[in-house]
Amino acid sequence: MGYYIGLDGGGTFTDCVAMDDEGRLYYAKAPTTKEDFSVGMFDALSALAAECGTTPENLIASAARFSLGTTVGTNLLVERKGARTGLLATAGHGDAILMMRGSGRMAGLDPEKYYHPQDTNKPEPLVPRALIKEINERVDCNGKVVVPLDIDEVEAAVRSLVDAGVTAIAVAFLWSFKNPAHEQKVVEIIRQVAPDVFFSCSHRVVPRMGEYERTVATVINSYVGPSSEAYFKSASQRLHEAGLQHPLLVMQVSGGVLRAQQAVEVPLTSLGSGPVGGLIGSLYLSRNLGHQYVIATDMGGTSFEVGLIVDGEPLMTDENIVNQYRYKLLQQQTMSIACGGGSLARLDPYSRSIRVGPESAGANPGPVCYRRGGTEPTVTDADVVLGLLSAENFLGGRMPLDRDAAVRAVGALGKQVGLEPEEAAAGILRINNAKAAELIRQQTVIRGYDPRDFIVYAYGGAGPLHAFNYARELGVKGVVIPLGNGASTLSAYGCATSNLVRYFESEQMCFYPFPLGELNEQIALLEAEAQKSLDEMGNTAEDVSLERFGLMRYRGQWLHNLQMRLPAGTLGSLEVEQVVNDFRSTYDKLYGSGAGQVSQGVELFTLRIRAIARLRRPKQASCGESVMEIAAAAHLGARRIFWPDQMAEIESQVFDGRYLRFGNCVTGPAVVELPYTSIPVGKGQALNVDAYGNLVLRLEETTVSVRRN
Amino acid sequence: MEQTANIIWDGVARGYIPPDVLRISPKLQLHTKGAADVDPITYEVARNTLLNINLEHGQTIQKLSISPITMLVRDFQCAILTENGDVMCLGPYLLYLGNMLGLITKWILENRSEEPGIEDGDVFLCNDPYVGTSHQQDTGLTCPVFWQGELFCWVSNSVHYSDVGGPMPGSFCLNSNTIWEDPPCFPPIKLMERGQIRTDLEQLFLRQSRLPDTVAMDLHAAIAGLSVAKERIIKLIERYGPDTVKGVMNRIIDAGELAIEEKLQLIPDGRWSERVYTEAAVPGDRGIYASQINIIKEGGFLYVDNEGTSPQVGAINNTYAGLAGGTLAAMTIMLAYDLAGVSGGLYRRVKFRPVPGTITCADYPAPISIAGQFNMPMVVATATGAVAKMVACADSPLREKAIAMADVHAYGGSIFNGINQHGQFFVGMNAGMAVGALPASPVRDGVDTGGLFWVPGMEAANVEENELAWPVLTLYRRHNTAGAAGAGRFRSGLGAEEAWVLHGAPQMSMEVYMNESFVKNQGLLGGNPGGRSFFQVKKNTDVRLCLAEGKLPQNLADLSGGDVPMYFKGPPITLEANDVWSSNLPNFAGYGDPLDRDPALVAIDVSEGKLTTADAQQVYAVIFGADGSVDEENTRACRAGRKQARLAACP
Amino acid sequence: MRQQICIGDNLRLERRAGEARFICSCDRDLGTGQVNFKEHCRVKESSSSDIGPGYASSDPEMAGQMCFREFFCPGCGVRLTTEVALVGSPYLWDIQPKL
Ligand SMILES: [Zn+2]
Repeated sequence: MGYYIGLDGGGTFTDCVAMDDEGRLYYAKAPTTKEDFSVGMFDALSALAAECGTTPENLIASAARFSLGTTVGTNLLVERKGARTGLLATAGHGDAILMMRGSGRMAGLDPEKYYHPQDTNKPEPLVPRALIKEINERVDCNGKVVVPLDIDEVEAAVRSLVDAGVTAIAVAFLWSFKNPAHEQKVVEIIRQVAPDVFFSCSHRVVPRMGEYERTVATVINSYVGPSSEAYFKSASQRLHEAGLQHPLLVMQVSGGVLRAQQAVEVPLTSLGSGPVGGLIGSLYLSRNLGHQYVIATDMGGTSFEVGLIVDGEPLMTDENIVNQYRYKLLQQQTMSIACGGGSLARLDPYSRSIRVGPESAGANPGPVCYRRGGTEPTVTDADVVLGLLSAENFLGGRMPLDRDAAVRAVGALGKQVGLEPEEAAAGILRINNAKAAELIRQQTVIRGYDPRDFIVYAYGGAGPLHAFNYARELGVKGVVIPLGNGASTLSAYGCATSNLVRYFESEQMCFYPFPLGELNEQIALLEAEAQKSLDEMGNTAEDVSLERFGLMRYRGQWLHNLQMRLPAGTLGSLEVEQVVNDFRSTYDKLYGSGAGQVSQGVELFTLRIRAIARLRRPKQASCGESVMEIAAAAHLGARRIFWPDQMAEIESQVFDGRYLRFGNCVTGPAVVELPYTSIPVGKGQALNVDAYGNLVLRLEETTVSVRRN
Repeated sequence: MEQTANIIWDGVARGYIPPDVLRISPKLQLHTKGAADVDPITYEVARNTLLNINLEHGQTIQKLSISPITMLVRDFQCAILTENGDVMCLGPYLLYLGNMLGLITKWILENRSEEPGIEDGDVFLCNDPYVGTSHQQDTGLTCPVFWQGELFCWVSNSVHYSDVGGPMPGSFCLNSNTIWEDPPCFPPIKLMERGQIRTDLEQLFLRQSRLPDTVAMDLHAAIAGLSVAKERIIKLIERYGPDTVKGVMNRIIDAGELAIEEKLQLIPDGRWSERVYTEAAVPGDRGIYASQINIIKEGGFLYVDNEGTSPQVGAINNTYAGLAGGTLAAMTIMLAYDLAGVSGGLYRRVKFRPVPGTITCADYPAPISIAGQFNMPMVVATATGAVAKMVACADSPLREKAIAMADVHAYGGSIFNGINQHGQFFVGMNAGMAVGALPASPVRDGVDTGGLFWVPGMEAANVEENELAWPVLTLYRRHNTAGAAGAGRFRSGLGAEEAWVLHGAPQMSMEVYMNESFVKNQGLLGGNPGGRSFFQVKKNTDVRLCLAEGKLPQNLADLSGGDVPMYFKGPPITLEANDVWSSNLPNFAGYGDPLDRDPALVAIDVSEGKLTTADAQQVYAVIFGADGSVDEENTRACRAGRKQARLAACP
Repeated sequence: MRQQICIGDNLRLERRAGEARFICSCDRDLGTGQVNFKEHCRVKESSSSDIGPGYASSDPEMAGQMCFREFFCPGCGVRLTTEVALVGSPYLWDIQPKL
């Protein structure tokens, strides 16, 4: 038996998923061990092996693929434990990363903070000024060398950085993406002068315009580089010692996996693959289920993350912010707001109303009902007060919750605005769900999409618990709790199932009518590079393809662009005209007829090649036979739940989701409990189990087809 | 102020000040029934939705606009207003534009409700500063939202359009002495009528511009923003009913007002003033002029006047709209910082008693077009000084919110034009200095290149973006040092400077630049004022030779060639191949006596290379020992000696 | 109600013998609250070009019309406030809280 294994060690738990040759899925998790990640990794693998009915040794040795997702880089950044990093910049521009374009004080913060300067500050510098060395060299916007590289100065700078104790160096020169010669030369010098130092240069990390964002990307890459490299190497080594036969694959934020040896070159592309992991899992599942339009939602303790799948493709972005640092890197887009189970509910004394979030009780003290000293009511406390979350069965009964304390805390808040505890709890959920729905609106409507065309996938601890409410708010087609009990390991599932994907980009401004010779030449160069990389990926690929895209916008429209697919072959003026027409009509379709002026010029400013090596994997197994009858073991009984949509307490049935089978249908009002979350099924709603174990929630007056097989 | 009693503030001869009760034609039915008993949960859900509708309005404009600089420097604003034109909330963009949207809307209610009437599907356009804009380029659009035949509320926006006509590219007409030498003013016209664009009026507006395509796209972006906001408000009404939504809107403003009232209780009654000087009413003028703002705080209200301000003169004027907008911007930051843009409650507590015929409250036909670069920052700065002194007298925690003065004239901005390396005509506005700086406060240092606090979210263009759009090479863009400029017990954040040389074109023309002949900023309560903002041009230098020899010049002083004598405002200058020019955004104001600054903070600045040990000694009287650490004892002695010497020097 | 009003770090308005008076942190009396406290300060007036490095003007004639005023407490020498002002203009009476 061969296994396709995905492991995500990013969160509190190390999650893993295995799919066997026959497409059957197995899930397991174990607490993440921060001191030595491999302990948690092997704990999880042991648990997984038990699920598969084999030994850990056999599981690893018979792995056909092994993919790893991690947030090691993000943690290094957030905890400021990255490498001591030096930066080489063009003379006169070493301050760019410190100036942060003047917007670093507020980048990525809640707009409410924008009015409150005294409550905002820049983040600590990633590179202290003393470790930024300016180099005499200059290239212009056409890639022409204006001032040649001063090689002696580079040598001296590298030496002085090494003397100052750096273990990583970033090189980011102006216009290097138009002409990388100077950065390449610096690399040679670093290799000679400081062969042990980790380095990265901007034209390799992200060959895109905008020196601030490119410099940040390069610096972060170096900052997390040495530790990421060590992490990948050690994971690889430990797994191979344990018998792994194939190269370890590492999850990338762009949505594919890469061999560990390629991933260490640009560790930035593995940064934050945690939040993206769920989206990638959703993507593969959506293809299975035939869902073209998906809103992937992940609600946890402190945050709510949303990603979109449109026309079967995840939406990508190249603008990212981490710790108020803005950087460019192509990745699957997720948007996040502070809105989760831990969000605090507080009185607004001026309007005598209740506010929920953005402050959170976090993990410590956490919700009042966790018994860890929390005193202010949270969304989770409201869930407990209403009975949507069982106080006894939380985490499979391992952590009984203090419902009385939750009632007291929510009740005290409610009293201040004249509400009973249940009314206040229902109100807290309404407010929280309205915020979640608002973020989804921002992700869809502002881009020109209609949420009613979408299906919501809900995962994360608090996602399934609240989806019935925020999904209805948006009028979406339905809700899927992907993989049912496997929803909490969706990210690992994404790792297990994804292809090898790499993107190659180059940026140069082309004004329509585009210079065809130059354009075709650029495409040929990029595609040659992409092809080479595919060849390096080895012969595991059964299906290899290159796709080409152009990022286009109206002239001057710096803050917006559309990615248009470019036809294969040599581009002629007819093809180009067609692409421009497509751009104009797509623009008008998204933003209204006449939004673009015909007389306004069009720019193609970035070429993007996607290289995909589709990996062989079994088709996910489905249950052959559906059963109508719900097993007796699945029915846990009934309890009274105060439903926020009905504003009434109703006797509701309670089920154990682990024992529900394909064909089972739970009609509301009911709650389906899972070890890591609960799924309320409101009055008039129904929850079906599909052939793949997904739980499909049908909202009123809408239907979503249940996939049989 | 008795003199203001007889003045007609009609928006024609003089800036428009709305009366307490608007004169609206009975033809127009207003929806005025706000439910008083909306439950606290529905209130919060609807409040959150309304604030987000306004954000979505702004994001739509940003996304669809094609004026990169306008969007980068957030030179726009959007708002939701009640049926009678009271601003409920504004967006996190250029703050002084918020109140103006209220003025334009109220003027329309008073002057357009009878003829040609206000109807569902209409959108009004107005760029007349006497009605309510900061200058003609900041054109406002305001759109009534109707529900079942009644005017329910308004959604409005203001966007800086790149060129709206007039003798100068970019429409900043430095030489104007009257409005007739300025870009045209359009009092409110019905750009859209019952859902249809009036193409004749659209063309009338676009026909004035040197960049009609750009302005057309931006105008449509602004209209798209209004449509989004209007549609969502209608949906909200459909869901909760008009009376509930109106009840929520009223309660949002009431709650904001209550929060302001609570803050006002922390401030003693009294009067606070600030005066800021400017120069050169037109290029070549050697005059010096004053802008003054006085705030009287009495009980729960603030009364603002500009007595002490110079009579209107040359091109350096703004109307009442600018005075009110600029003052309210400073107050929003120091009094309404925790209200997420709900400023309607604040607006209710501020009463203006302006002196007309002054540079900060000019009468027709004073020209206004350059106010965006000159007067508006000056008004904000003047107001900032007065508000900060008042807030610094308040009880904690309000006193910590005082913030010292930022720039007096727009962030070292310059405006230029020519043919770029792609063969296209361009009008450029340098947003490189939009890195800004956060000034000092009573409890902490400012933030280096921390943006402009009254233009939240503003950001500078990347050097590469500039070099792609314009035929220039940026020799350097770097932080200032933390010397005397902006020093204090808490120092200002550092500003920045940059230097350019032409690249890819033989010449270009520079129309607007600012080389202050004296420092205009004022320090806060013993702090040093910010530095002098300068613009320097060196002609016929050896810069090409240096580059050819493989050296990137990093200092204007190292180059040969002659300094051109630069005035605060000069005539347009032609920049040529061997010229080098540099702009400086100085550090802003400091707070408190520099001799009281914690020596440890001085030592940090020295260790980070921001401050020389010589300046540390001269400005802060901090002495370093041989090992580089602060010599505490000598520092104490030096500071005591300095204070003694101060007294000895001025008996 | 209020017994005193703190104005920044060193200056305060305090009720003494039934009258509001400006007092420095060194306890020096800077006169009644009815009068601009600047009148009771030692004042240094210098050129606006001479505040320190970075202030020097390229147009001395214009700069010559302006001055920089520093207001020191006569008791302890602390700098209480500053003004960039037109030469010969009266001191701006800018802080008049009521106790
Ligand atoms: Zn004293």
